[in-house]
Amino acid sequence: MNLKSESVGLVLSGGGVRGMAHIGVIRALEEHAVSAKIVSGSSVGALVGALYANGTSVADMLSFFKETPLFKYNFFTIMKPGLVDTERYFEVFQRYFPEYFEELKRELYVVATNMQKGEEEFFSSGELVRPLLASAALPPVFSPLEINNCFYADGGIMNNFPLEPLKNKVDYIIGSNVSVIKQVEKKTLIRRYSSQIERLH
Amino acid sequence: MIYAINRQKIRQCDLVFEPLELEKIGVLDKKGIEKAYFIGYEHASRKLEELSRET
Repeated sequence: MNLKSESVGLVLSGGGVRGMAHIGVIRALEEHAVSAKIVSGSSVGALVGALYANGTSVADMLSFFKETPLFKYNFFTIMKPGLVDTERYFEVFQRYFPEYFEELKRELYVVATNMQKGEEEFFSSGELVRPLLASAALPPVFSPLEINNCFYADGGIMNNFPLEPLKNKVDYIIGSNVSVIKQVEKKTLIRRYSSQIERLH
Repeated sequence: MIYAINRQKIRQCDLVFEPLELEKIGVLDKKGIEKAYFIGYEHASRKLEELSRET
């Protein structure tokens, strides 16, 4: 059981723009000749995971996120009325991803939140782009996405670290978690909030 | 609650990359993509170097 094992699994967490760290992790793994057989991702982790599963180069992964304005939902856009229509991203995604999971070079698991059942749901076969969009559709900014008559939203709501599909399937599990929480002092917290409010004026 | 469940699962990994420096990146950060990418790369490279020295 080691890093150079034939059977490595990779878990990629959710976490917005911080998820670009996953791409750096993948580059480091590639430089150390470590290759994952199965990938499981939530939200931004699902997107990076899908690019990795598709054999996309690190440079092209970065271009994808620079070209697709996924992270432009900053504080100011949230203040504007209306949601970002998730369907609008469909065409851009189709340029980067194949139509079906089965066309990918690695096995991929994507988690999204079924809004009607209030449960997490894994996707690993059939149509690829819609589950990907759903997994990264963080409310209230992105509208939920309809798949087979059910509405889905960001996978990170229910499962931000989707390790489950890898259990008993690989010998070695690598996790990349970008939803880090450091202990914050009360003073720092107040200072942060006041500077955010000042920026609004 | 979800955070606690995640911690439990993170511990089940054989190798974890969890760069705390990512905390510095806010949602308003225009350079966020590059910054996060480099933080992830440096963190993982360092950890993988350490690991290859050990074995």
